[in-house]
Amino acid sequence: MQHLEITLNKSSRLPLSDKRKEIMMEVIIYLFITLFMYTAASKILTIDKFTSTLGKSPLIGSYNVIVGWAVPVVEILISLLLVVPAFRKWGLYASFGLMTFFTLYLAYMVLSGNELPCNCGGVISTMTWQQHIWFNLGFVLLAIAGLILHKKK
Amino acid sequence: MMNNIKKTGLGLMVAVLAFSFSAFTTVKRSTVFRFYKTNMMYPSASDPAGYQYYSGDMCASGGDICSAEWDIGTYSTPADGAGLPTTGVTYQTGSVLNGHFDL
Repeated sequence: MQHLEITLNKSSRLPLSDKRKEIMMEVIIYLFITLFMYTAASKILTIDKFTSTLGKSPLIGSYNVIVGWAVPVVEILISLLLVVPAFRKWGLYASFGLMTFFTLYLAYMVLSGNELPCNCGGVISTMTWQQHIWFNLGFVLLAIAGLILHKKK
Repeated sequence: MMNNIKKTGLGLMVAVLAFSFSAFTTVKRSTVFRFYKTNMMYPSASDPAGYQYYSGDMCASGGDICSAEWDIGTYSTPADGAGLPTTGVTYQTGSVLNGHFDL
């Protein structure tokens, strides 16, 4: 009976070994590093277009140059946090925060009824604003998963 | 300790690769520029007439053609407001963005 109880208790948990959990967390981290470094490079190299697009946003307006440079710099800094194992927890928290912030900004822009700037200045420019929201939500969930896996480590 | 060094190295490699790939794909398009359809008297996207160059984002929602990419070949980098030459340029299929030009 005791053996049966132990078996039942074990089967109620997710069947993931520590090794698998570590691999999943590594994959999540590398996905974020790839995303942030890819988008940071694109924004920096097309900074005129990026800041111009931001200038059309009613939330950003005349702060477009500051915000335009701040976003890729923050993305690079978060990537560096994620690279170093000792700081990965903070990198994941920062990733969660940044992606949540981006998602809320996109949702506000779509729901506010304001005239939306063209996507042609965007980084992942083939997406519509609505698709971008779902894309970002996916990464918010990934960040949460990464934090849970890191906690269980 | 060794494991952490390996993880850091791999993370750095991923970061550098992603940054480099993005930079390469952005810079590679140095003869391809996005021109804005400022004159809708020429409504066809593949007609070079009616296009002007602007470095910023000049599109607004609403409309069929706001901008399209053109390979300008040997012409020099256009300045803001410059018209698209009508010869020696190649329309980039699939590059049209919907909307309308809004200065």
